[in-house]
Amino acid sequence: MSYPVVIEGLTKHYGRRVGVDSLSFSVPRGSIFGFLGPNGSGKTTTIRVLMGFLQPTRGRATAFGRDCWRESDRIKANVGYLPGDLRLYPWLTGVLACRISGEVRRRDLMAPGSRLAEQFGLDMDLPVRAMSRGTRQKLGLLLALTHEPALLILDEPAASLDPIMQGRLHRILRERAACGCTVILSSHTLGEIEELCDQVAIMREGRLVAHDTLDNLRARAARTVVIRWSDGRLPSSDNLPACLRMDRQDASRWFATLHGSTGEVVRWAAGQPIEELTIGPPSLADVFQSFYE
Amino acid sequence: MPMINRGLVHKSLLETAWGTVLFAAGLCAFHALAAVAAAKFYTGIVETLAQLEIARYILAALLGTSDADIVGPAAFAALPWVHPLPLVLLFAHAITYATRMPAGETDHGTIDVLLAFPVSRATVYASESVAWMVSSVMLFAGGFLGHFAGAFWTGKDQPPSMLQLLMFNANLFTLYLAVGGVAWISSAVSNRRGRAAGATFAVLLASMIVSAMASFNEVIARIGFLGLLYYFRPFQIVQGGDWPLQDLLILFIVALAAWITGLCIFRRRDLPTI
Repeated sequence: MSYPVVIEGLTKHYGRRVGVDSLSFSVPRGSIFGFLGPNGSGKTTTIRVLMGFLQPTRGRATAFGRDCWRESDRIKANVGYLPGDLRLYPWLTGVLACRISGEVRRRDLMAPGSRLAEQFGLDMDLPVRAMSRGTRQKLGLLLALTHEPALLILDEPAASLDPIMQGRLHRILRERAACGCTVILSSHTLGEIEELCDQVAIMREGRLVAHDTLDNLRARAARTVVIRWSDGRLPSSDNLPACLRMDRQDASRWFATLHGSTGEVVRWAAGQPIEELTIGPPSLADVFQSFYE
Repeated sequence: MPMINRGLVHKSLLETAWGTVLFAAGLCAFHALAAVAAAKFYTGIVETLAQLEIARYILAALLGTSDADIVGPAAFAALPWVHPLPLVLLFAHAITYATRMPAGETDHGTIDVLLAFPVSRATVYASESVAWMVSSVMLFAGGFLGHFAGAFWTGKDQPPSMLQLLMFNANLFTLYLAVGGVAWISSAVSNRRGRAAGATFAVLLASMIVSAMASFNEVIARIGFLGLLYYFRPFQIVQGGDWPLQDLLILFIVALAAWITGLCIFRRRDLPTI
């Protein structure tokens, strides 16, 4: 498997403040890579290093085997970038964006730009100064996607988009990933991460606190378990297996949290006078929360 | 050697077209009016003004000489080219243009979009500079156009001569470049356009004060060479009719050195979010 993005021991200091500290991870080709963390955790710093806006204090970031600081211009020929706090020129329209981007990249981007604009329902002649926030986001996405890059770095791409447009964006990202495009997606929206991402990296205070596939994280996630006892006879909670933690109970039910495999609970439940056993879906929100705190 | 990117030049010209047209129109209107006024009132008013000591001192300061006694009627021919209004227009244009990138782009947050293009920072800087040169040509052309339109309107052939006009403008252009160079450096080190423009303005103001005070004070006259305006001496052109080659060269070197320093800083600096 090839890794278009490789970060090794990346450290970035802003004076005395640490932006990111000894960060290392790789992003496999064709994957949608979720980049998570609370505000100030170092996500944006990492993205800005990847884009060549910041010089690493130590370590290095490479994209397509090239150094992100020294060979930034060559790398960016294959990168589409959407900043988190998107600011565009007030005079810019979709047509001008395609024309200027095409002139800079020495390619005709009008046709792919128009197709994307159609998908996003973007008026190509509307200037930014007359656009709503969501429409500006669509234009930002158009600038990032039109040249069909091999690497997409998107910071909160669905912010300000309505649910229909979010769905369209997700579909486009999945299509691009299926064609081999690598997507790095920074987002606070867990639903979006769950829906799209294959792998997730979680940052906190400039450090990487988790990096795993979404399936592995799901396996680690706690589940809500509700047990209805037969005839309303509640046994002592000492009876619970180690993987279950009792949260509360009422006249006939136990409400517990499962930290472990469902098989273990099912095996235990088979020997109990249980009328009904409900095991909820894994809560990734709780997993992320635990890493955030 | 940084490459020029046509798309970036196009973008920069699109962004600044109206501003440049307005500045050029202002210069055009001023020089047209000055040419008309000179044709109508030249003989009477110039001789009267030349009698007034204070007028001679002011003109001496504007013309870049410390000797007010040698300012005679002929020197008044250069007045439109050293008048504060066109100088302010030119300097304001140099400062507003040269602080657009990177300070202005960083300040507005658009630098992320600009640098997401597959171009090096040196290319961005060079392309913006080329666009600045194109607009500066439009600006000076506006001044020339105004002067010739005014002269054509009055139908009188009066000083300065064509050669003197070229000399004034060459000197003024190198001064404009030097002011722009200072603005490029200020812009390269700052994330705020206001700060970059303010720093450039401060340098310019200090230079103007030194230049103006040099006519009145010997001590200031000794350090006058440190100010940019010291090298803008239209009087030398009026008086001797020679090209002020040394001044042109010094201003050009200052402009080039400042521009290259700005480029080196911009290439190496971090661009954080604001």
